[in-house]
Amino acid sequence: MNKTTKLGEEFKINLIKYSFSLFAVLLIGSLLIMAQGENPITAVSSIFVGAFGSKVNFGNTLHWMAPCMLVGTAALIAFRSGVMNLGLEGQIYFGALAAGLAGYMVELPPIIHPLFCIVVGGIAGMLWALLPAILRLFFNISEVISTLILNYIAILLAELFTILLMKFEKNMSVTNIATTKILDSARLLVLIKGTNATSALIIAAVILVVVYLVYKYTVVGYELKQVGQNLKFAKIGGVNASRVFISIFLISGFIAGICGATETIGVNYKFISRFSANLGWDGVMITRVAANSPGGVAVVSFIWAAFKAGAMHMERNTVLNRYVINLLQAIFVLFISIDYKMLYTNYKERKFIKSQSLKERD
Amino acid sequence: MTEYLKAMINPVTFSAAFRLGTPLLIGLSGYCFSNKVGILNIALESFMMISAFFSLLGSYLFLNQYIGALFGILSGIVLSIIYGILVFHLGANGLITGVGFNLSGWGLTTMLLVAIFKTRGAANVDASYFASIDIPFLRNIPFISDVFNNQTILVYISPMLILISYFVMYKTPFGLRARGIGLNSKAAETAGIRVIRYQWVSMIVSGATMGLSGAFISLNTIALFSENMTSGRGFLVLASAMVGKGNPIISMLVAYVFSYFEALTFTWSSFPINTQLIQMLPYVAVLIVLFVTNFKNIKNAGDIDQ
Repeated sequence: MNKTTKLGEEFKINLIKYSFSLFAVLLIGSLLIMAQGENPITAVSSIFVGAFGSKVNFGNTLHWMAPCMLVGTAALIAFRSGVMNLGLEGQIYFGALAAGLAGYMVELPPIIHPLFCIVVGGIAGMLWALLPAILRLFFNISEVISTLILNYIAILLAELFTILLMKFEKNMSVTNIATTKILDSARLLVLIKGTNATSALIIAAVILVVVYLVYKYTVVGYELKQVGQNLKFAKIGGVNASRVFISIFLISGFIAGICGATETIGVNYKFISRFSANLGWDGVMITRVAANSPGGVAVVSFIWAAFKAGAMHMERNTVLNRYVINLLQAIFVLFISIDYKMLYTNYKERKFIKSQSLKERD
Repeated sequence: MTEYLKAMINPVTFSAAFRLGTPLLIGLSGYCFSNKVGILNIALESFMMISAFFSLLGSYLFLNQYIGALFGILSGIVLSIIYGILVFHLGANGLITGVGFNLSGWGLTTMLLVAIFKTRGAANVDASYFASIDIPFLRNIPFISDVFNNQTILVYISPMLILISYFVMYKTPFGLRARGIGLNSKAAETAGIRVIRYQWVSMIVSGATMGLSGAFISLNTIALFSENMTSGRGFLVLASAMVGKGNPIISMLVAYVFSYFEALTFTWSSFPINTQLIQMLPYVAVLIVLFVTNFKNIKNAGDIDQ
């Protein structure tokens, strides 16, 4: 009896959280759109058409869903256990580069080749994540600052490797830096013809389901959750915190690397420098909006992908540019990150104290 | 090889280092207080980026670089107030809020760049900017003149701001209490210091100084704004304050180390070495400095306390 009321309260707070955030963002968004001389309803319907209007448009949405889900899962693993891996962007770049190289340097039969590229990409992302993990474990350098800085280094380093490998000239324009096209055998399977919706989506779904099952049913998952919720308790309970910390970092980097790899072998068919428009940061936002739940990551990734696909369509058909969407997504995350539960409890406490003092007066 | 070394001690490099240290120093003069009272603010990057844009806008509208700088400071203050409300009063996680801010900063500036200046990528607009000043008495001193002369007013005030910041932190009751909070915030609270008030003051001061450093980014010797123009300088401020543990003078020296490596980007760019390799230098310098200053922690290796 008591438990059901508690659950109801949790639900109520979540309902307030999401509906208030949505309402606030819609309001801010409408104002922003109107300020630029466009009707908000036209903009929204344009996004909707761009995301779901036709088979191709829906394919585009599905294409974006795969990297969103992968990087969302990578962020989920890290943030759920309190590991601040802000270096997803750099790990994506290394995964993408490694997969691009594995795609044209190695010859393998069709189905094995893309899988090989993905594993290589994952390992590359993992190795790049190893660096901040070591800095934290051995030298107590906060992973917040090291991963932030390593992102910049990763982008430049991936570019440098590409230039050296392809023997490009030193002053090559950044937009032209890319590796050789991958072999046809390395490409991911296209699910919807004419779009980039590929089997990356299946890979992403499998990984997400595995992560969900690990959290739900295994001891490892329980330990990971413990470290995030109460480190002292976990340590007293016999969890090897350092080992857990480093494995979280590596798994998170591995999945981020896979995300980069699928973009290379499923969309661009080569590693292009600066291909990821803040994809790594999308992961952080997605897992935050999803409140660190695997099921939530799938749902939010779908919404995020729809916005990504729709934003392009909106840009072509209205006076607005697609950055409006980026801005609104970030503002939405800010509203979501408010601790409504705390505010609610404070409000209830105040109300309780008020009623008590009123009673005393009577 | 020798030409690389020669370029390293060339006055041009030192002059560029002195100039490029400015945004870091201005930002540090305020952020050191935040660092002392225990605020880890990764949103600094967005503070700098957004105020760089608004500085340009202010200067463009009023054709006056000082009004532009004022726009920058005001936008920095507004941002810090929003951040403060979210983190101090609404229970938002500081890091996630920072990520949200940084992405908003990127989205807002690129959106406004298209909406106002109708360009994508970069806007070189017809606005007034801070011009370099020729100081007569420096002109005839050989080395000194090359390094310190012909800089803009912002470059000259940046070390002064650091000195003011140092004075406030180590010679005034405010600074004493702020440092007390840094040592042990619970004890400070017990001693009757309102921690939240100090956090708010340092938050707003850091917003204002980051705003001014944003003005340097877009208005120093040329009025220009481009997408992602700050390229991690906000994080460099954060890293210098971390290494300097909030001491303005030490943080300043660290910031100059970073800006020196950034300066090499210019003087080495004519040599056959790859551009990417040089551009990496300031970031690698951050890692190396962090590594060296934290090397002593190795004896506690493997112990995680979050």
